[in-house]
Amino acid sequence: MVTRERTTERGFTLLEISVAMAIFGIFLYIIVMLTSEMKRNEKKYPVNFMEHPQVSAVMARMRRDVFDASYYPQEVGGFDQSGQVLIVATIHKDGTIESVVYDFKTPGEVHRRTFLGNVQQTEWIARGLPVFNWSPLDDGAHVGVEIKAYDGPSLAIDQIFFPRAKAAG
Amino acid sequence: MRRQRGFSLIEILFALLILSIVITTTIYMFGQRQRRMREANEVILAYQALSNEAELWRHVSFDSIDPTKEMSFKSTDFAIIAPLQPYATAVRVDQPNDKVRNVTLTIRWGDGGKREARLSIIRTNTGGGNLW
Repeated sequence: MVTRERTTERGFTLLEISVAMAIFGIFLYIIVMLTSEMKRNEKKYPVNFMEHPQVSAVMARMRRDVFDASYYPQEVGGFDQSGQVLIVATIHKDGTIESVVYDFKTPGEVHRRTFLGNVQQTEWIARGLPVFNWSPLDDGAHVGVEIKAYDGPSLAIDQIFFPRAKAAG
Repeated sequence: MRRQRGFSLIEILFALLILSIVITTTIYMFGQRQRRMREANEVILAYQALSNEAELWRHVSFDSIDPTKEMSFKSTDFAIIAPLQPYATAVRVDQPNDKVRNVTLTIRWGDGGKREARLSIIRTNTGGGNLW
């Protein structure tokens, strides 16, 4: 004798699945819209300063050094003035002339070295930075510096500093 | 007799509702974070431009800062604030007394100029050509 078990199993109806899929589809659409808008915004504002927390420390030190600059030596301690090396002569707190060398040659790093004569006294290194360079800026009365830094292809820093007194170019 | 059944439509909808609330909240928080980071970056860019402008205004002679005339930014290079476009710049000069002139530099951008960064410098008449 063959017994036949009767079950009341049933899956979802087509209507149920359609409604659930429709809701999920709307939801996915919203997610895609939001993420694409975020990406558009990121492209518009590609510079991420939060990735470079040391920038403000570098800029603050550079601002003070240029502000105190009396002239810009061409060469100090084996470093030559160039777009990747900024040399300023400042007056040290004891009255002597101290040369400060900002070395941007290592990408992502800024080395600040101080010299008395040609003898290095200190070195301070900031890492995790955009790529720096500088150029002289003459407003007619003063020779200042324009510091630029690029975060990838984007201009992240563009700052001009002038010394408080007229410095030699 | 074994009676098995799947989830009802109500159960599925309720589960989807909870899921959507969780995901929407996450996306909203993520979006807020992105927006705040973007706004912080914008302020940094704006203050760089203002700082450069202030540096230029420190060097001009006291007499050339005329509170009766309409003044504009002296910078010619605005590449640093290009991501803020469209933006507007403004200079206001106040003269609280004969020997002092306050220069207020302003950049407005975003949502019809609702966002604003402002920097003021005080110039005093030292009798010379300029402060230096």
